Amino acid sequence: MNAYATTADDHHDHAHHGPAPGLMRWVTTTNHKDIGTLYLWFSLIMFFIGGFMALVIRAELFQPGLQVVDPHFFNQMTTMHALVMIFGVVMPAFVGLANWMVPMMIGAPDMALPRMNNWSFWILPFAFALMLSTLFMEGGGPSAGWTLYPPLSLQGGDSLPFVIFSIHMLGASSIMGAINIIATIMNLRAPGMTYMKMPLFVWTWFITAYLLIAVMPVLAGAVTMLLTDAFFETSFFSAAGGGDPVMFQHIFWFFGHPEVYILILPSFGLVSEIIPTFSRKPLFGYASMVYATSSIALLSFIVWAHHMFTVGMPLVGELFFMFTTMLIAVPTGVKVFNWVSTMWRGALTFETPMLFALGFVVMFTIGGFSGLMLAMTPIDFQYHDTYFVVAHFHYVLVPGAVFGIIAGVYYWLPKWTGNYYNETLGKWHFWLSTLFVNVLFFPMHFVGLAGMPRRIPDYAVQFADFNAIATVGAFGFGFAQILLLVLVVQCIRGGEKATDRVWEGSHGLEWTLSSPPPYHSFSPQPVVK
Amino acid sequence: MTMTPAVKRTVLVLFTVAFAFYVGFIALAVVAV
Repeated sequence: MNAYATTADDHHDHAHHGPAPGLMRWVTTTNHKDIGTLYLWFSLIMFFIGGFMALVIRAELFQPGLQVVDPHFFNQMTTMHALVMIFGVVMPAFVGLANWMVPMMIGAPDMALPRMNNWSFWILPFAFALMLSTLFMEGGGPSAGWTLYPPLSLQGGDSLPFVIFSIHMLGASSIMGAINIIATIMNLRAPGMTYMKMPLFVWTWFITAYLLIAVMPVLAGAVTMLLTDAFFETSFFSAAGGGDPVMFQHIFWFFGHPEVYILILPSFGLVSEIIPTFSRKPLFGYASMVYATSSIALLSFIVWAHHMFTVGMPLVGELFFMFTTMLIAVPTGVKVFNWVSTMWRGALTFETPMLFALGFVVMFTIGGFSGLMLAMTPIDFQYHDTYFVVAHFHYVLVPGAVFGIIAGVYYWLPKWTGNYYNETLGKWHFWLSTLFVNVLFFPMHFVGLAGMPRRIPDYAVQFADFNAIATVGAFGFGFAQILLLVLVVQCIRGGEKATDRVWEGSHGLEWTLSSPPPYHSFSPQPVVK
Repeated sequence: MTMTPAVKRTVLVLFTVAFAFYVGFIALAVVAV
């Protein structure tokens, strides 16, 4: 993987124009690095907006009773927090990282479809402006949960068509982004960069892009049918008109479960880049990582009904979805084994990206295990719709997906900016985040097992202590993220100059470029031996 | 960047697949109800 011969001197532009001056650079850009930067900043801003909503939720749940917000607004916050974090934070962050790194990792000069790339990004701010504006409408924003189950979602205020249109826009953006990534990887790899030489981050994104193309249209179809049920007299999901509300759940989760893997596979790729660098060893079991990722993606299409074990399925259906879900633990276990084996007898150092990657491996595995518990049908009957589920998916998404993204940002920040970030502050960020994320989410397992339902603004007094602890963790975690903003801004403004290779153990085409890389890189393309 | 025939072919196939999933699932629901 590290035998590269660069034929081009990439340390200066080859008669290419640079970026346009002023604000118009960002509006009209077709450069993959600029668009990557836009995605990443958008994601960071939305992270603070979605985080603020989480703090409203946790403030209300600090003690039993109703103190901070009224129940209807609380429901809007739980719904919006999820929509913002999923579609506005994790997905755009991954697309931003892909935009920056995929062309540089495969030796391509840019993305295959640069103008569509610009369009994919600029849809997002408008889609979210539309979605967030519903909070200020009469009747408020959507409050039926991000899953938008009918009939509840059809009984809200006037926000429904706005949210549906917004979801359609987000879907179009994601599909275009995914097509762009596949077209780039399939057509623009440098000579000699065969599929089985591609870095794992590129591989995981390649597979994720296929998942996006398969399932975002399914979500679009589901919300289109919601729209026609609400305004055009159809009865897809209305039992009174001959339809079936449970059918919405089937269609939604046919999208929703692959979506879960869309939110985690690129983080698997990031961690698979970072751990070998700081272990100073090649990744253990490269080919098995590729096959494990593909297996997870394929299995994700036949497990959807484990989200709805309690709707009353035939026994054979429950058994089928239980066993297929448990099967996913096999390729996931292969991955965790490979990460640990990569570190085995490596010359480890613990810079901030490695710390976040290690945090990912440990805490994602906790989320994986609670997922395995939820996969068992009879046990799920007990856990369904409790805080145990909230604990599970937050372990997978926060110290899982988000830690992976943060690890990736620290890993490549010196490459992007040309400056090293403040390592001491980075370590503070890691330890504070790790401490508080566990204070926040671990107690949710206990209240969930004891029967506390999710999506409620008030609760029985026996849950008070653990909820108070979780709220302290939430505010601690939230404030610790300000360090990330400070670190990124500091790093952009200056600091110790980064070398081209940045890390002693780094390997791959992106490290053959200067730090920061030229505006147009790899033209002509390098040759990979 | 020029759009090579291979890129055009990739885009056409992928957009068709995405559109087929959209129409296909609505058609499936129409049949189911």
